[in-house]
Amino acid sequence: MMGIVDKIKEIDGTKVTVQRENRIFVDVEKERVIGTLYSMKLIGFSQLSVLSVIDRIADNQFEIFYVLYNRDEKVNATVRVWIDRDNPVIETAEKIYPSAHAWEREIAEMFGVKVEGNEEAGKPFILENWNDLPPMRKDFDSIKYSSEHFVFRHSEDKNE
Amino acid sequence: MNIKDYENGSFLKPLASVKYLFKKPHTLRYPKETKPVPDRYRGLHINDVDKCIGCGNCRDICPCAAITMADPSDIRPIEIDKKGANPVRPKIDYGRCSFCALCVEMCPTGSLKMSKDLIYTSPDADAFVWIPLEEQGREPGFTQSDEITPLMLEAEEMEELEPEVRLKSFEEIVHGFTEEQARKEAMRCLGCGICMQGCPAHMKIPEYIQAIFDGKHDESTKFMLEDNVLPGICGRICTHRCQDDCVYQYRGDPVHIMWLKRFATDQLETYKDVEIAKMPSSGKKVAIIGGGPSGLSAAYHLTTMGHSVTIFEQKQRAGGALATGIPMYRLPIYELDKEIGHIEDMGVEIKLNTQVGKDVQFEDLLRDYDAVYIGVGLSYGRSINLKGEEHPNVVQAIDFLREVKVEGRRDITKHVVVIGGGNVAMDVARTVARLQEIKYGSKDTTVQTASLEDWDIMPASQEEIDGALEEKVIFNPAWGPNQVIFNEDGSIKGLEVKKVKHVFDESGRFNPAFYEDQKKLLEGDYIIESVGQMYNFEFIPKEMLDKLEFTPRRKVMVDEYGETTLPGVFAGGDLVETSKGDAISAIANGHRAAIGIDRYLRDKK
Repeated sequence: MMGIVDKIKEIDGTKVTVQRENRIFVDVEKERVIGTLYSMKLIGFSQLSVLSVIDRIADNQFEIFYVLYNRDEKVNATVRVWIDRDNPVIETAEKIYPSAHAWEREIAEMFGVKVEGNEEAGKPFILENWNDLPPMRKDFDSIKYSSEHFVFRHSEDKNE
Repeated sequence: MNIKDYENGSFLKPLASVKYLFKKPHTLRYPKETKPVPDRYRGLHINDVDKCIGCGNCRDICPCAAITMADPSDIRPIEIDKKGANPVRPKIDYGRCSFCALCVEMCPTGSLKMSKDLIYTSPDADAFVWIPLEEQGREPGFTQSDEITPLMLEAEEMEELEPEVRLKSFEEIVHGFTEEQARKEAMRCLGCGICMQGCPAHMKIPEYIQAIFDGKHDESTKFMLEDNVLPGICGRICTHRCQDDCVYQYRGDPVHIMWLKRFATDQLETYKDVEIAKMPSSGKKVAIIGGGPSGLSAAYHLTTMGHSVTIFEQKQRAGGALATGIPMYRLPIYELDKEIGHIEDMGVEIKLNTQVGKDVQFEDLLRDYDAVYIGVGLSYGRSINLKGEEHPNVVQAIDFLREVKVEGRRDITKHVVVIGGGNVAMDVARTVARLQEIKYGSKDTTVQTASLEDWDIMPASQEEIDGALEEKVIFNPAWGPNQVIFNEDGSIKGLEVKKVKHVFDESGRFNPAFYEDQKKLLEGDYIIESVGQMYNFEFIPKEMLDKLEFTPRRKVMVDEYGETTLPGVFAGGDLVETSKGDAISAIANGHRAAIGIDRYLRDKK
């Protein structure tokens, strides 16, 4: 366990937090994400389990996180990076982890994050004809949207 | 695979696959078998409508406005008069639902769940709207968990003085919230308003808690003053029935509504800057007999309605039982001065040391004023005809508490027996414990209580009992007083008590019975009786008193607006049936009587 933590600490520009056994957080700067992911893959984190975003609206930032898994050591490591919420651009990780392709399409659609290098990110994914704010952003008003787009069928008169 | 492999093996080798005939297949025999659904599958809802309290938190959290609260009585009868509940249940539109399960995570009672069933078809869009029930026979899937929940289940800890410290003085025990604690506690409130039903005054609790969260303490106090003229006092000594109804009681700790109220009012030195709507003067005059919580409440609300009000108070302080009964460690005197001062600032005239029937005549009040409100309360101790109670060292609780709080009495004997198991008895016992600590340093002193009721039915609140136990008060539950035993020199040796068989008879009426053979002596040279109080209507002339009607429980008969059978005479506080013997219900029926008096005065031309 400690061996793998030391190996991660050797990667340039990483801040490592050991939350509990088998659960490590790795905070990096935006410029170092791809390099860090590449190094992580080299030391045995062969699988990208999840790639998603937390909307840190109070700080006006997006937290992008990559949950990686090391099958030999049975360790989960999460690489976290904070980017500007007004200009959310990241570089694609699909060259390192091919499964990132679909995750990146999802975050592009749900949060409006621009993914450079992933040609399909930004194309319609699961939402059909979406023309509003990306729906997983915290400033998206779901009640207003659903009131505008869907009919209220709660009228009591119809039952009578 | 190479052809040579077959050449090497036996021709029976293909028979090896026969073994798979007896193995469990990996495939599903659809449609006979279906794929198992994950345990936390989020499908159509299930709701246990008997457990559900109709609080509407599912409706408020729904991000798609898919839930409305509807009356389920057509399809499934529910208990209408359930305490702390609304007679409505969630109705869900599955055309809008996004199956996010926030409603399930939010549900305070845990009645709402999601099932493993997601299959429902109909050509009619309106058929997708229904009230989920358990009887629909769906298998539960997603349920809430207490470990991972968006709710803050635990309440903020309130800091209190340690028992050793607080015994040394009459300093207030509870410290009160800090700004940070209050904000955190206010954040826990879901704003459903179920608590408002429990409060006798129906205070606007969600509104004032929201204002506390926003840091607008004057706005918060304004909401409080609309229904309760003594919010700071109630923030200290209220019986907080609101907290008994708080939806958090089912999961976690109820929101400390009372202490939030105290926090908000404590932030304001006076209520002068709180905007209060006041009607133009009507020119009518109202006399109020008794300056207790109900009288103050009626006076304040009548003043805001534009009438001119005079309170006649017999004692040297206004506030009734709040001023004379409740000890300083629960309710400091400056809080009374602040809130009664505010009522005086509003224009209420308070005549202290004025006893109706002696200094002023009741008939004169009826003649000189347009309406009279009686809020004298139960201000006399009730005697239990104890053998030997005429001795000067056998006293009434209400007199004892007044002497200590108002007259500054500090002398006490070393061994004291308190008769009673209610909150007043706890006040007396804890006051005695303080006096003994101050005078004797608690060396070789005892204070013990004897109550008819056993632990399980003791009328005092659990907090008071715990506080008394911490202060080394000795309890004798289920021991009823028999007689006072005297020494040869005439001083009191102690109180003889006998074991109680039952307090209430089979029909539930108060009818205590004793084991006459089981007796014991509680040693003590000072006995304080605290078994209830009564009213005294001597100030009302005989011929009028005859016309005044009473209920079977010997309370004054009043209509819903507090008017008695005497025209123009209203009553409230502990005198009437709606009182539960606490300040807040007196404040509530005082307010109601004020509305009644206003109606009466406007009709009377």
